[in-house]
Amino acid sequence: MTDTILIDHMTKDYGLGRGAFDITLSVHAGECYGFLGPNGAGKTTTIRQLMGFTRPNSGRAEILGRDCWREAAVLKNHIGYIPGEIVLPAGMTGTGFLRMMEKMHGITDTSRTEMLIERFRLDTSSGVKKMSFGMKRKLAIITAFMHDPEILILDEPSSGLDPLMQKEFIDFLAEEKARGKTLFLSSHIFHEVDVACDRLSIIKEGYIVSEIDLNARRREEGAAFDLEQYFMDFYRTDVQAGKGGEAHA
Amino acid sequence: MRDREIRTFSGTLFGYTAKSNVVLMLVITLVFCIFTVATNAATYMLSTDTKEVADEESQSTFFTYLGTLAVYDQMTGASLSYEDFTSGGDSAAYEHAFALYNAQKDAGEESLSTEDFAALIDTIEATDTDPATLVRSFEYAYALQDETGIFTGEELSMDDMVETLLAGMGISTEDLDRMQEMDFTFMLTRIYYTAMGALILFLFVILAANGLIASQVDRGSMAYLLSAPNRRRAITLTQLVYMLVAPLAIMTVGCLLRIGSTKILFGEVCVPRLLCLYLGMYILVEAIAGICYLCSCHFNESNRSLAVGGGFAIWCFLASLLGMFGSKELIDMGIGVTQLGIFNKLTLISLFDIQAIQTVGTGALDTSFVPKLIVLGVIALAAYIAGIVRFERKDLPL
Repeated sequence: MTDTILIDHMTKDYGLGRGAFDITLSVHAGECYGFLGPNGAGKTTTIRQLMGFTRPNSGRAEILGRDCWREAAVLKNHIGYIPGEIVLPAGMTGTGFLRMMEKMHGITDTSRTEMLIERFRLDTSSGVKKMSFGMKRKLAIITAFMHDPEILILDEPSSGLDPLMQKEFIDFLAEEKARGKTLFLSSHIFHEVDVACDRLSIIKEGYIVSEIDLNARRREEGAAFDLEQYFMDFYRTDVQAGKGGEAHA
Repeated sequence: MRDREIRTFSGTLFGYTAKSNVVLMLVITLVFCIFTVATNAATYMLSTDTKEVADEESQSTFFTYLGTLAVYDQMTGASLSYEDFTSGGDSAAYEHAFALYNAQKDAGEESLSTEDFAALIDTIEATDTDPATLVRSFEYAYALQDETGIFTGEELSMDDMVETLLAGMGISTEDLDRMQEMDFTFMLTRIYYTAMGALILFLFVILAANGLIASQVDRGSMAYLLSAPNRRRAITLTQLVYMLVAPLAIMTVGCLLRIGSTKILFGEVCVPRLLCLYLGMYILVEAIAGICYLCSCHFNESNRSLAVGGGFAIWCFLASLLGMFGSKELIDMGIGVTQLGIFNKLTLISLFDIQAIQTVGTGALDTSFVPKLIVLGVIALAAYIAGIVRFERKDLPL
């Protein structure tokens, strides 16, 4: 099986114990991989390496066998990305922004974009500045999927969506996965990863502390397997250890 | 299609950049144009506003007439005067007085007549000299005639009196000469090209450079440009093209306006000289733009990029302004301070040598401005390249 995403002993040290350290993981083609951890655990730091925004101090990150830093631009043909924090270029309407992104991706057929707009029920005519948090999120989702990439890197994608839209989005992810897409999903929302993911890593204070094969667990333990409980256990040990980790529900 | 990437220039990004800076660009263009026309109009007014004084010959002839009247009055007890003459006094008396003079004058001297006197007064009135002032001046000279100083025994004269009075106030005759020769159009030209006019364009490049890179990194919207298959170099080069083109567009409008308004105001225009001045100014603005661009590429925080890049530009402006008061021209005018000349060595603007450029189109061409402009061009190029390289290698907090 080929590794679509490969992170090999990658370290990015921001000093003062912040960053991501010795991260090793691989995501297979067509798999949904969860990256679970509290805020500040190193999820976004890891994703930045995958997107080629930052260069690791040591180790490497590859997507489709290509170096994430050196071949960042060409890889973007194959990657859809939703940033953790959505900041859209100023002074544009939703439509203007989508048209700009289409051009940058070299998309000539806008039917997929139109389909996504309809699916997420977004009014793209208003200026991005006036858009609510949820609307910006929808715009980011549409942008990530518009060029129909085979890999999706999603940094807490459903935060800010109302419960109905969250469900819609998770259903959409499942459909995309069924179409053979590879998903790398960072989150601190349990059911998001629980429903969608095949495997996941739990990251704490910059280190991967556990990797779980959810499908195997489900097979072995059936309904008895409770990810949330499993996750919280990691936090409790954290609290007991006196490291001041914060629990997220 | 799947392996396409934008390596050098993104038309889409350029369009967005141009669009999002259009208001800034229009405002700056407008201000620059107003300043251009105002400066040119002021230069025109200064060059035509010098007072036209009645020429020495008419003044001296006028004094001859007044002298004749004065002598006649003393001899006959009449009260002929300039004022009386112009308000239609008895012309027969004047003809009589002039006839007496004509009878005694040396052969070479012109004869006097009421017609010539009237014509002379018209000539003087056509200038900015008031005949009444000349009359008053004559009265002093007449009173001092043949008088000598009570202590020194030296002859007293009007010229000597004026010089003595001014010397008492600490003003030398040289100061006086300088003041008369002072060329304020030099100051206007210098302020336009190297201070205020340049400042307007500096303002544009400071704000544009910051908005093009640093502010988008700081805000986070750069993530979208980089989530499309755009190389970092494509982004920096596209923004660089904007930094080259936008000031050029603004200054082209300003230059055309300057050429046009000069043609209208002065009737003639030395186009090569103006083109050289604007080209020099453009290279200067690009040097500043390059440094602002480098700051924008280097810093992840918008306010730091603004503080360092903008601070440098403002420093260059202020140093140039101070340096102007230490320039040779102002020192020669007597209103400069030699010590301030040091600021001319501390600003990039000094490399834009407008004094030398203004010799373009004259016989005495001074090409010393060329190597200085080349230095500015090299600074711009180096700063732009450093910015591109820096942005390509750095970590982005997106």
